[in-house]
Amino acid sequence: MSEGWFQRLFGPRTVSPADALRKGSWNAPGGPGAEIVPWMDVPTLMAIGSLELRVRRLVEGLSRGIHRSVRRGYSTEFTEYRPYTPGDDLRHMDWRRLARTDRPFVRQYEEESEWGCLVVMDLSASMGFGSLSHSKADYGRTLAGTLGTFLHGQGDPVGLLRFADELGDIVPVRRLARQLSRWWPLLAAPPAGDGTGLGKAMEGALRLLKRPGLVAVVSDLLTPPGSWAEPLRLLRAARHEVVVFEVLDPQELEFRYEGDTRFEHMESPLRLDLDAAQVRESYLQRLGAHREACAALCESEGVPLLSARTDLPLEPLLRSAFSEIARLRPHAGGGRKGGN
Amino acid sequence: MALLSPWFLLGLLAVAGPLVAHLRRLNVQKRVAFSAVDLLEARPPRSARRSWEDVALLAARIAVLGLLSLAFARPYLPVATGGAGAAGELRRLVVLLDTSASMRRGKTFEEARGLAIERVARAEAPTALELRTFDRSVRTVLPFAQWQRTPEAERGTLFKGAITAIEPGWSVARLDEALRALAEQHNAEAAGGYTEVMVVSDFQEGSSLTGLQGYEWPQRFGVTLCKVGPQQQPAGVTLRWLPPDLDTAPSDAPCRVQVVASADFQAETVKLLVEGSRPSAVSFPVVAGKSKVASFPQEAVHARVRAEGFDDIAAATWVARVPQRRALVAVAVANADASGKRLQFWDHRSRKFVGSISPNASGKPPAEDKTASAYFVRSALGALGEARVESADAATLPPGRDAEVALWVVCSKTDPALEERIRNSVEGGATALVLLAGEADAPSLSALSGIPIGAKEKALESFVVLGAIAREHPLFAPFQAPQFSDFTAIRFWKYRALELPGESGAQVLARFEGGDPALVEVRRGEGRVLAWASDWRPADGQWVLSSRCVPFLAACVELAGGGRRQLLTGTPGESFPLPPGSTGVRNDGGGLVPVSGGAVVLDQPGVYPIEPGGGIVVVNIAPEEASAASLPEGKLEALGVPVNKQAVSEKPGASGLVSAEALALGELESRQGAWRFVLAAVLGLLVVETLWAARITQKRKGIA
Repeated sequence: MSEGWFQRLFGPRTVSPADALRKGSWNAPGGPGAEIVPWMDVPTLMAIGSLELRVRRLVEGLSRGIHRSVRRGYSTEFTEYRPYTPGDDLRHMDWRRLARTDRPFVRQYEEESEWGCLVVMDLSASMGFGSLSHSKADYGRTLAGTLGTFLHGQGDPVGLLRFADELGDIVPVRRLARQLSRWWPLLAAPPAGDGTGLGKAMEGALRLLKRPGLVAVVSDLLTPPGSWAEPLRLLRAARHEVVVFEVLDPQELEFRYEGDTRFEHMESPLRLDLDAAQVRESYLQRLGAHREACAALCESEGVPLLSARTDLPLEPLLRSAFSEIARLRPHAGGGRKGGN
Repeated sequence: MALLSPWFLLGLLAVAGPLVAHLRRLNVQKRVAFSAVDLLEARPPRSARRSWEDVALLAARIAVLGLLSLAFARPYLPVATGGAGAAGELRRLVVLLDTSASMRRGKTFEEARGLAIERVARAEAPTALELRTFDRSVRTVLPFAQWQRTPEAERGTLFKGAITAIEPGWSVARLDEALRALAEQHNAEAAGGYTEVMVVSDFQEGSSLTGLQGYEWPQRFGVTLCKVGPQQQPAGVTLRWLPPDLDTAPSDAPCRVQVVASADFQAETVKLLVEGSRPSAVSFPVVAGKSKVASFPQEAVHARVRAEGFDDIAAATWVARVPQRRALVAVAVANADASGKRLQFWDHRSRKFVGSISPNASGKPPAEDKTASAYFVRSALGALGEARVESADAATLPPGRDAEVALWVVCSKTDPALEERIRNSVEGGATALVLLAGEADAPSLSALSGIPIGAKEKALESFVVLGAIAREHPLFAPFQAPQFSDFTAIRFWKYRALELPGESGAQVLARFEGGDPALVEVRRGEGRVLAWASDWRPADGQWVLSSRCVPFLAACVELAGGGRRQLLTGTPGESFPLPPGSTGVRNDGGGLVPVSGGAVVLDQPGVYPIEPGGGIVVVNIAPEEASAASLPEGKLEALGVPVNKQAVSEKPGASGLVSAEALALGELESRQGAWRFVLAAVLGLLVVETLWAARITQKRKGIA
């Protein structure tokens, strides 16, 4: 079979998004990631007032490169055939049927087991900060909603845990058809609280997930790493996979303030009258040290830490996230078989 | 410190600008709700230092605005005039009465006397009082000492008597010199007391004030201004004689009078009346506010011209004709066909011979002897101007014109009558040049010079030249230049050795190379006799043919006063230097004002003939004194005079030369130069502020 026949029959040979997800090559140079063009720029996306609609638009954009074959899991339980579409993994091609009918079909399998995913959403007061047209909470809501929608669309049971200084409302991990409809009111809640109870949230996640699953933490992590190091270790010990999204505003990262400024802490009565230019350097040093500590903690626990800068498009981040999730999925081949 | 333009201090409101901006900036501290405040270093802000810097900059900017306002307000240090009349202190009052010509207008001077008496009567009793008058000079009428010696009850009478005896003069008002003299006196005598000068004057605009500019007035010295006279300049005309140019104008030149009509002059013509020996009248068109020159023939030697219908002192002027000068050169030669002598007159001014007289009155012109010295003398005189010889009989040039003769050239022996005329003329200032043609001329020379001078024919084998010359003498002034100073090329073949008596006063101005006198000067009266030891014929020498002869003759004429001015003009009170030999001038009454120290001082306008000689002195009121306009308001204050304002306000009906507004009008340069320093301070402060602000900005940018 020549290359021309193959291409005429199967179309151009491209790497399947699922493969790419599994291989974690979305961000590889020249790989599929290189073709990613954001569906919408961040301000336009965030201008959509409805979170549900915003998430739907984002998912549609992501679906342009992610084919329907990835919406189902891959297992050993055959369920049906379906016509081949370009991008499907050729390993699942039914060559015999192709020989008989001269039409390509791929096999579909029933997922073998459920891999529950719990999105832990930080809606503490600090998430309400935003120097752009949107806050970190808006960005995080969109991220969490998109994650949930995507995973739910893949048939994974998803749940939501909202927290601030304390645990907030919870949507248990289910695979119900209308599971997501319970998310939106919870995500729409305004940021509040006097602190970031990330450790408590992880402890709550540990209690919620009865079986090993995925915990996706969406937070600014502006709390001492020591406060959530032990809960993270417990999660990992319980064979849960954890992905941490560190949502930060560019102003937090760059600190472009000038002049005499009174800084009022969003989670405490702390007020500081400072010369912004004077403290910029020390702030950036401290922030860098804090982020390095967080990254070191995550690395020590084998937890991918994805930085989410609120002025950057969500698509690359989500693709990276999907890549990580695909890598972490126990039956995806690349996933870890046990805790560390 | 006082302010000339205090309303400029309203500019201080501009200080509110930077002040408000500063306060707003203080309140505009940004408030930011931040998520990671706990990561911020609670470093104490530099607000303290920054605020100090900002406050200092604010202060500098406020100071700049304030100083600018102050500079525009023009501060000055007023002369301390207050404190007068403090109990027990020396308080001197000087009444300074103007007696210049402008005070003669109407009843101005009577008003001034009355006002002075009234003010002194109303004034607080001073420790000492002095009465002075001023016009061209300052005179003390009632000194301090006399006032203090007089019993207090009689002082009023004393003052009234003294001031009543004063009459106004005709000269100009030099207010500056009067005030400065009083200020100097105050410095010398006041001894810490207060001196108040009460100036009673019409403050006519012609008053001299230049001496007040920049004068440093003493402390505790004040001037009170008491103005008298009309408040407004009356409509009228001012006449001013324009003297002729003596160098060019002929004696019959027309009289020229400048007629200035005031701006509100109504009539279209003015009638000029010529008063004198030959009265006449001239109607002259005038234009209001314009100046025109009326020119009309003048028949009388001098006259007074006034505008009809105007009694003002400025509406009259004295005029005079061009005076006669010594402008004749008389050449006395021997008449070839008569025994007498003949005179020819050369008019130096018109550069021609104007006539001749012949004592024998033959009526015929003599035959011209072209070998005689007179022919060459006439030729040389002709070279001075138009070489034209005119002959006339004796009646054409009467002996009365001898006073006009500048130079007598005696070419031959003279008779006693002519000798006497020449002698008298020489004593009046003329010069007689005697050319010795032979030994026989010696008696005439002796008679003219008044000293016995002998002459003996000198036998020469060859020629001689002039050896020694008194080059410093005015006669040889034309030959000072090196190209003219050589006389060695002029040869003499014949001359007469002069025998001069010892101690005769004769001065040898030139000698032949053998040592014999060639030119001798004998002073006689105001004139001189020059004896030339050779005849001016070519047979005797080359002198008359040389280029030195004509300038020598011209120098002889000038030496005799041929070109000297004898028309003197001036104003009353001036000192007029008279020509040498003058005994004085004749006044209107025919009396002689004798010369003193070579000059006379004339106090009244008029025409004064100079005795003897025919010169004229014309005295007229100074043009600046003729104006009836007053000084502008505030003029004295503008010049820095420490004027007491209050005293002026006390005078009923006074025009009030002082007003606060007037201070703003004048340029008080002598007292309010402080704004320059303030402005310099502003500039310096701006430079400092700019550099400082730039440094702070740069530093803060660097930190940012």
